[in-house]
Amino acid sequence: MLCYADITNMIIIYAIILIFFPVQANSHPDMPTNTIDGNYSQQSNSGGYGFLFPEGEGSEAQAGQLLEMSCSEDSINSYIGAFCMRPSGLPIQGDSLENLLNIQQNVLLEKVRDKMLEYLGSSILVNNSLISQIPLDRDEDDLTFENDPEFANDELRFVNLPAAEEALGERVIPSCLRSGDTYNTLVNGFVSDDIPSENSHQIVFPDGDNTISDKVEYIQDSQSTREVIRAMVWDDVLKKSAIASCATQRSREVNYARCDSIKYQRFRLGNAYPVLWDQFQGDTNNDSINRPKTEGQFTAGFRSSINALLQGSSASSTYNSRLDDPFDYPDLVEEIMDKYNDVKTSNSPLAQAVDDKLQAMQGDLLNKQVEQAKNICNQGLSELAQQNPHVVRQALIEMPENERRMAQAVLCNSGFLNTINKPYSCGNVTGDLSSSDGVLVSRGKANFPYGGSAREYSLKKDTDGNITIKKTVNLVIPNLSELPDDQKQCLQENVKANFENKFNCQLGSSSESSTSIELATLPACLEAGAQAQPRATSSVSCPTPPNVVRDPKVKFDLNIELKSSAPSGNNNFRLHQCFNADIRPRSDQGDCDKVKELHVNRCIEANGYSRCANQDITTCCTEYVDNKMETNPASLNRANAANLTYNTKIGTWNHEIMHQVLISDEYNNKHYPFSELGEHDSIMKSSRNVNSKIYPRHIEQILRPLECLN
Amino acid sequence: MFKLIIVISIFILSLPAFSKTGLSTIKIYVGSSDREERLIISSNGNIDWKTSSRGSICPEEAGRYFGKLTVKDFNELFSLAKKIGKNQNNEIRYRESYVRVIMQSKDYKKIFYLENKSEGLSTWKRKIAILKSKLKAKSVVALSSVKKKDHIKLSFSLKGKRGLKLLFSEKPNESFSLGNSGDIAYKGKFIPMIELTKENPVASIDLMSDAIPDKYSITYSNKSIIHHKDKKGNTPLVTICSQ
Repeated sequence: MLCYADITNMIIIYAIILIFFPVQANSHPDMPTNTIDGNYSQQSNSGGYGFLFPEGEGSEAQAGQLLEMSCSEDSINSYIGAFCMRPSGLPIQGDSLENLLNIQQNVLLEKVRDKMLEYLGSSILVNNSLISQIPLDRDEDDLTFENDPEFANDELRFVNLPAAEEALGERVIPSCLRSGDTYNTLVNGFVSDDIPSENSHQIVFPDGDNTISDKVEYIQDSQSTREVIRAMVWDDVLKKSAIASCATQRSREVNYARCDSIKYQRFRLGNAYPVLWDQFQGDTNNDSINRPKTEGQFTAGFRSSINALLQGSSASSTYNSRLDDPFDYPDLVEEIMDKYNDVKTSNSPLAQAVDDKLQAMQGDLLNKQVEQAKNICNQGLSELAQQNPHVVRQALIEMPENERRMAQAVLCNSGFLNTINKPYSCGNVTGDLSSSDGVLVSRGKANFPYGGSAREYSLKKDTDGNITIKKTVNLVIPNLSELPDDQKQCLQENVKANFENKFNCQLGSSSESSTSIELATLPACLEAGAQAQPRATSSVSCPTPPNVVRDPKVKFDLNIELKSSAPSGNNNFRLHQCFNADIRPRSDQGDCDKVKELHVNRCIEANGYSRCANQDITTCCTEYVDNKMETNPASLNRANAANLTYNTKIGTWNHEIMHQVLISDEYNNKHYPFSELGEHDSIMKSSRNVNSKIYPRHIEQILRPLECLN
Repeated sequence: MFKLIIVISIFILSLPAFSKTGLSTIKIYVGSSDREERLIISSNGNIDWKTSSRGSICPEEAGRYFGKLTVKDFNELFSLAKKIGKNQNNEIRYRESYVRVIMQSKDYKKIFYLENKSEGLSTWKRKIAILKSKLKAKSVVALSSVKKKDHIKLSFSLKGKRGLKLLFSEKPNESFSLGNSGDIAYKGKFIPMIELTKENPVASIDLMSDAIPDKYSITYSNKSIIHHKDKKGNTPLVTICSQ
């Protein structure tokens, strides 16, 4: 009982402090917005709380990787070995091991409770400020309640801050948390910190620690009208696509990669937008399409109000019919927001209905989270993870590496890992790592709504014990028979060398400790008497941090085959003289005349700018594009995943080849708005950056099918 | 009086052109990974074009444009689009990027993706391009640059009456790319947001890089920021370039 009251009081203190240091939603909406100079990367997270790595320490793609883990006996032993600083082997067994796991389960429980309080406190504050807008006056006596059934509706709305502080005094540390917990440390810092000036939009935390303020901002985003609409619409799109891809056993088998991608994206949304979804229901190990959370009681009403908005628009079809095409999603969201902003300006009841439903969802969430906060102390790890799995993830992210390893062992041992990890299907994995052919992997690759088709590669253990990733890529060149042999050889050697030299060095599997890699360009191969001609250099250290020399070492062995027509399967790149993916119809994309036409029209659209002054614009733009075709043809082309040109940049080649070994993009675009974002220099995020690199998680993902052999 | 009758007659005669299509619209959405645009042409003559890049190889502008066209021109475009639409056999198809057209009049509605070759398609594309070339800026940002001794000075200028916000990443490589070169750094203090207004229509930023070639092409994009969250307001995608 004491614990309930204390935790409730802690949340109130937390709320007071954050009201003292107002966040953007309830402070000065018309003032210019300052960016909060936080420790969490503002531009590298779309999954919100549960995926937040401190700046410079990881990306959300890395956060996602943390729970893509094996729970085999060997893996658990290695986790415990890492915790005990015995990488060579597990130092204890039997009862001692069981005791260690039990003790560490309690340690993890405390950390999760601490993090749960941070999350719930932040969310309750944000929620309360969004609902009430103007805090209500309360007497200090009102803050000394216990088990007040009306607590959820009223008790957080107060402005009498000094009195509240005095009333709560020493009672801020609940019995289930330790005095040294992060949260309590922060609380002590808060109350002694200077109050920022009235007009400041920045939350100032002690010693420049802005971690909480960034988290609050993410939580705040997850309740804004636009974000809630974006999330709900995308989940509705996913749900419809899931029916085709995952609903029956047969379609699930056919579309497993697509189905996994859909399920994981729904899982992320379910956690990041608690106003829309309740906690998990039933058996969380059930690997069905309904693995994400159930809808909150007001979500259906919110959706109806969106539908009413759309039906009021004469040019729009109804909401449900717009969900069939995932590529329609960005337009649908834009149309909803345009309509919402229009009717909002005219004080229409349609806008009021949307606002009312959102507020009802926020009120519902507030009630639930206050209840959850009251119960933190008497709930175990399983219940807490079931309510808010992303909080467990966030706790793991913030642990030192050895503690995280131990926590992973505990989670493996706990039996509820499926609540928080990524779905993974093996596909077709056959063979023996030590045999001459190695292990053949044939798996689908999907980053829904893209992809889904299978790619093949093999993994082979060499005589020295190292692992080679062997991949065959077909370059499809329609006029292949016209190319001289030396040009063909040059193309093969350059594509292979550009990929292997860079990545094998970065992985520490080449013999050098650092090297200046010569990057060859393919157009050079088309010159008479061509050989593999270097054109640029890039200096790299081997291995390149954060990669370290792996044990066993891992290296790529790329086999480039030249073909005049595309073989069956999806391991092909078509090589063109001209190609622009922006052209419609698609059949025109590789036609040099159509590529020119595209750019002439774009030049005309811009009125030719200054270059066409006093000239016929069509003639001027045609001359301009013709000239570019002669002097810089690369600038007219735009490649895609299956179609490259001789001028395609080396980084793009390497990025696309990584897709061929099943590594997904790590950037967002409007068609996959909630995918996991990588570091800026990850080859899967910024292929154009010459310093882009492969990350250890990419290798983990390439090797993971080996677990399927067991 | 006779003149008045003539004027009224002309007005009445012109009505069927409007009433035939009612509140007709042609909406064209273009989306690829680095270019987004939306063009709405209405039978009342209004044109509203929003684009992340305006221009060819190195697009110097982005934003929102407006203009007017005649009933005759609208009807020509509508008829041509209708003809092209007939040859596009799927209303909804998965596409990695697309040109999506929504046409609607009182008695006609058609949604199609351009996916098949069609007679008149090149003419239609050219007509749309010429139409866009005549629009005026409503809320547009233009980029220009000058190479200095050890840096590039970029100037952002507002065209049109309505202001707009420019967002920048603390990591300059997330907002700017300079050909194939490596890292870029801000010369001065990092500024996360610049608001261009009628009162303050120009802003500049200095960027440093290890080696700035004589012939350079620098691109600014807010893509990495706006696709994260829309917390900074409804900022549209902007990808503009200077060389």
